[in-house]
Amino acid sequence: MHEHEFFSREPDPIEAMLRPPSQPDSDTLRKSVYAQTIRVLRRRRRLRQFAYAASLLLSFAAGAGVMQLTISGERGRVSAPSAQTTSESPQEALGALTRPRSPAPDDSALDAEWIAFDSTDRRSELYRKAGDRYAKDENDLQSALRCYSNALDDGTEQDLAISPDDNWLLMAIKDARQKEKNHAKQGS
Amino acid sequence: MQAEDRVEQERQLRRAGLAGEEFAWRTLYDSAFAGLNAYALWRCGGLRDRAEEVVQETWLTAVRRLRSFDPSAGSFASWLRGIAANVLRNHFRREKRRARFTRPLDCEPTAIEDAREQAERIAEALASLPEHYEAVLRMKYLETRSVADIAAERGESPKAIESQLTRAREAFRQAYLQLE
Repeated sequence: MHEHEFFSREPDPIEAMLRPPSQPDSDTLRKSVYAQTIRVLRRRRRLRQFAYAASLLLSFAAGAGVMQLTISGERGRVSAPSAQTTSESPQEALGALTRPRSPAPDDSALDAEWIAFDSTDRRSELYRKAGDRYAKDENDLQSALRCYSNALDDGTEQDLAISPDDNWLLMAIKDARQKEKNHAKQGS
Repeated sequence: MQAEDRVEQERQLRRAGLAGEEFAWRTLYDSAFAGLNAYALWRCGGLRDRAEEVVQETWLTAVRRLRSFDPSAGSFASWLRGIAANVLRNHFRREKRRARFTRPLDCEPTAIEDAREQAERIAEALASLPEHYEAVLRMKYLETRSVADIAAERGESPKAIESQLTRAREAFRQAYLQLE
């Protein structure tokens, strides 16, 4: 049948074409499509929850970071070095770190001897102090003798002069050294 | 339901749906499923498999793009119909591209194939109509509303609606014949 002939007949076939088709049972489709959409919705909810948790974590981390910075800033202010110290050159600062310190009162005689050993400019003085410790605190005369000998070896001519501060051991060593020197002079 | 109530209710459901609240989505889904299903079937010329694809794609698009739904611009059902119309247009675009690369077999079509071909032509003719023609035809034939009712909703006279219906039917007839 030709289309024009088909449309020209009564009743108008257009009416039939535009009439709604019979509705099939759509319960299965309803359930299946709902399940698919709900999966999308749940995924979105999980993403939102994840984003919320991530933002909380970030806020906490930022807060902790600020707190850390504040605390370290306050510590820096409390222990800030004086202007004199900060004006030191790097070499000076390094020297200060590597420079042997003077023996403290609670250092042992052995510690004092090591400090004297490490020293470059005050060896004589420090060895003498170490010797004093050995003699006075520990009654170790052999070690005291070794330290006094080192002190005199590193000392000057004036260090050989007996002083009222010298203990009997040091006086004896100085006396022996002076005699030795005199003998050497006479011999030569 | 008053228009303001409808807008407020759909706005709340939209907000809850975007927050992932399943009850809100379920409410929107249940309120619009039957209407969308009937619309898709009508727009597909009664082709059930095609209509099911359209319904599925429309709902998946809707749930993904729920943010773009604006209740003050129209109801949820009309927003869904807009998505379905786009889905159908895209479908026919794809079909045309595919038709360029395939040739029909030289054999006599069966009665089932004839019916399917006619349904596809109806669907394509409806898809080619301007939106206002499609709207009056939908209200008249799918929703079986009276001319007076359509006129009241669209704010026009019954005579104007009758005239639009006549023009819309004629446009459909021409579109259908051109697909022959």
